[in-house]
Amino acid sequence: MFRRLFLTLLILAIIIAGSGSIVLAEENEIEIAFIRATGEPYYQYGSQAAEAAAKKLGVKMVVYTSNLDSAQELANVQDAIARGCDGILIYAVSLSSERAAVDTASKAKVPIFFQSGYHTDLLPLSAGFMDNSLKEFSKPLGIWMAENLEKGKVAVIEGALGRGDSEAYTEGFKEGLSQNPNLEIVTTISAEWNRQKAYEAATNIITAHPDIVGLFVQNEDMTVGVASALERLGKLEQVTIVSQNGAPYGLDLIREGKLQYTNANPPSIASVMALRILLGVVKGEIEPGHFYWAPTQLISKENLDVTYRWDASEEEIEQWLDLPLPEPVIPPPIL
Amino acid sequence: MFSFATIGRNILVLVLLVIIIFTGIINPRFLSLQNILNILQQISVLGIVSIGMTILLISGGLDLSVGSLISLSAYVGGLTIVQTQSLGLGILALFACAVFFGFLNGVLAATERAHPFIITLGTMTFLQGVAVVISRGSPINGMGGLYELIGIRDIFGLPAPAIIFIGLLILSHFFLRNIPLGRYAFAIGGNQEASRLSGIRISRMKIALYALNGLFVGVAALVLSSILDSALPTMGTGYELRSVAAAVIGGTPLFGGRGNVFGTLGGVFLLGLVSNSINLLGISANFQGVVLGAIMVAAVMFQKSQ
Repeated sequence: MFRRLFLTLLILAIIIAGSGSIVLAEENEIEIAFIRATGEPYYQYGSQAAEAAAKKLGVKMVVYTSNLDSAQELANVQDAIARGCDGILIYAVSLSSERAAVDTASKAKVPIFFQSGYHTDLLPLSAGFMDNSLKEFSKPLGIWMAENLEKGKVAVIEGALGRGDSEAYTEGFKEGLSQNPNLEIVTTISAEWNRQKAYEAATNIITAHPDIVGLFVQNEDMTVGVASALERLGKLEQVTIVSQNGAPYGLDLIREGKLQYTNANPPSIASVMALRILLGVVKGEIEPGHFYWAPTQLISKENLDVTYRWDASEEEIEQWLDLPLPEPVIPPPIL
Repeated sequence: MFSFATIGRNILVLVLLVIIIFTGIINPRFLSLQNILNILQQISVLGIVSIGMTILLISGGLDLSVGSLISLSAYVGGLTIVQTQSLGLGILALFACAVFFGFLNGVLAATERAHPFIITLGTMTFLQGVAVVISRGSPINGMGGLYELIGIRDIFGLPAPAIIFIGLLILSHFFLRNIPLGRYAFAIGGNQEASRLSGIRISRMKIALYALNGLFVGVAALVLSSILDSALPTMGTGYELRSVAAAVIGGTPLFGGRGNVFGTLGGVFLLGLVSNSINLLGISANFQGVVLGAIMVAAVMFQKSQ
C-alpha cells in the first residue's frame, strides 16, 4: 500500500515538476505552435530563435518534437489545434507526409506554415512554404570540389536514408562534381546523421581507399566525427572535406582548417522570418499560400564572418525583426 | 472473462485518471470531444500493433521487426497501388508482404536456435534495409483512395482507424479466450515443455502466432499509410519498442504465460494520453522525454507491484 502511495506521489511530483514549464496563452494572446522534426541541434537552434523572436513580438509559443515520426507529427498538429493555437510553424518530418497535416489544419482553419518539404499541391492550402532545393543546395559543394581538386577519389557520407533528403543531397553533389571528369566517387556510406557512425564510416573509407582526396559529409555534426577520424589516421592534410549547415561547430572546423567549404542554411533566421510571415497570415496582413526561398550562404575560411549565425544573440534576433521579409517567388514544380 | 472489477483493481487506471484530471484542470480543451477523437485516432496504429505484440508475448515470443515490417508492407502496398492503379491489389500486396514476413519470423523462431529477440532484431534490420533499397529513399505520395476510405473517414462519429482498433481489440480478446490457438498461446508461454508433452504442436502454433502478428502489422500499416496518405520507408520506426512497452505496462510480462489485450489497451492509452497531455499543457519540448519516460517507468513499477 505504502509503495503504491509512494509511486503515485512520484508520478504527481514528476507531472508537477514538468508543469514548471507549462505554457498557457492568455485571452486574446496569439499563440503559435512550433513543430520540429527532432531535437537535434538544427531544430533546437531554429526553435530557440523563433521563441526569442516570439517573445519580443508578444506572442506565446509552444514547441513540439515529432522525433522523425510522421504519425507523431500529425498528432502534434492535432494537439496544437486542440490546444487552441492560432498558427502552426512546422519543420516536416519527411518530404511527403504533409498532406494529412495540411488537411487537419485547413479543416480547423488554423494557418500552417512549412519550413521544409515543399509540395506544389499543398502550397495553396498552406500559409506558405519556406524551403530550399536540396539538390541545388548541395550542388555548389560538388562544383567547388570539382574546381579545387585536380583528380582522385571522392567519397560521400550520407545522413539517414529513406526520407528523400540524403538521396537528393547526394544527387546534387554528384551533379556538381561531374564538372571535373577526373574526380570519381568511389563509395557512398550512410552514417544516419550520427557523429559516431560518421567516425566509423570515415575510418572504413580510409581503410578501403587510402588515397582518397575528397569527402562530402552531409552535415557538420557528422563532419566533427569524420575530422576526428581523419586526424587520428593522419589524413587531414590529404582529404578535402565539404559539408552543409554553417553550425557553430562547423564554423569552428573551418577556422581550424579541418573543413574547407560548407553551405549554410541557418535555421535561426529562417525560423524568425517564417514566424513573421505566419503572424502576418494570422493577422490577415499577408496573403497565404506563397513560397519563399530559405536563406543560404556558402562559407569558407575567407568569409567566416557569417551573416546569420545559428546561435544568434537576442540582440541579433531583435535586429532581424526589422529586416524586410523575404519576397514570395514562384517555385519550380519540383525542388 | 474481462470485468471492470479487474481493471478497477489495476493501478494503471489510477495513473490514467490522475493524468486526465490534472490536464483537464489546467487546460479544459483536453476534455473536448475533438481532442478525445484525436487521441483515439492517435493511439489506433500503436494499439493495433500492440495487440499482435501482446499475443506474441503471452506465447513467450517477441517481434522486434514490427516497425520495419510496417514500413516495408506499407511501401509495397503503396507501390502496387501506384503501378497498377488498383486499390484492391495494393491492399492485397500489403497484407501478403506483412503476413509472409510474419510467417518467416515464425519459422525462424520455431527452430529455437536463438531467442526471438535476436532473430527478429536481425529481420528488423533486414526488412528496414529492403524498404530503403526498394524505395531508393523516395516516399510514395498518395495512397489511392485509402486516405478517403480510412484516413479521414468517421464512422458513427468515431475515426475509422479507432473503429478498426476497437474491433480488433474485441476480436483478439475473443480469440485468446475461445479459439484453441489463442488458448495454446497461454499454454506455450506458461510452460512450453508441458505444452509439448500435452500434445500441442509447438512449432506450428508458433508459426501461426507470428503469422497472425504479421496480419496485425498489415492492418497497422494499412491504417498508418491511410492516415498519412503516404508510404515512407521509415514510417514504422519505433513501433517495436512502444508496442512492447504498451503490452508490458498493460500487465503482460515479457516472459509469457499471462496477459490480456484490455490491459494493453490501458498501456496504449497511457502512452497516447501522456503524449497528448504534454502537448496540450505546452510542456517544454526538451522536457517531454523526461516526463514521458518517468511515467512509463513508474507505470511499469506499478505493474510489478501488483
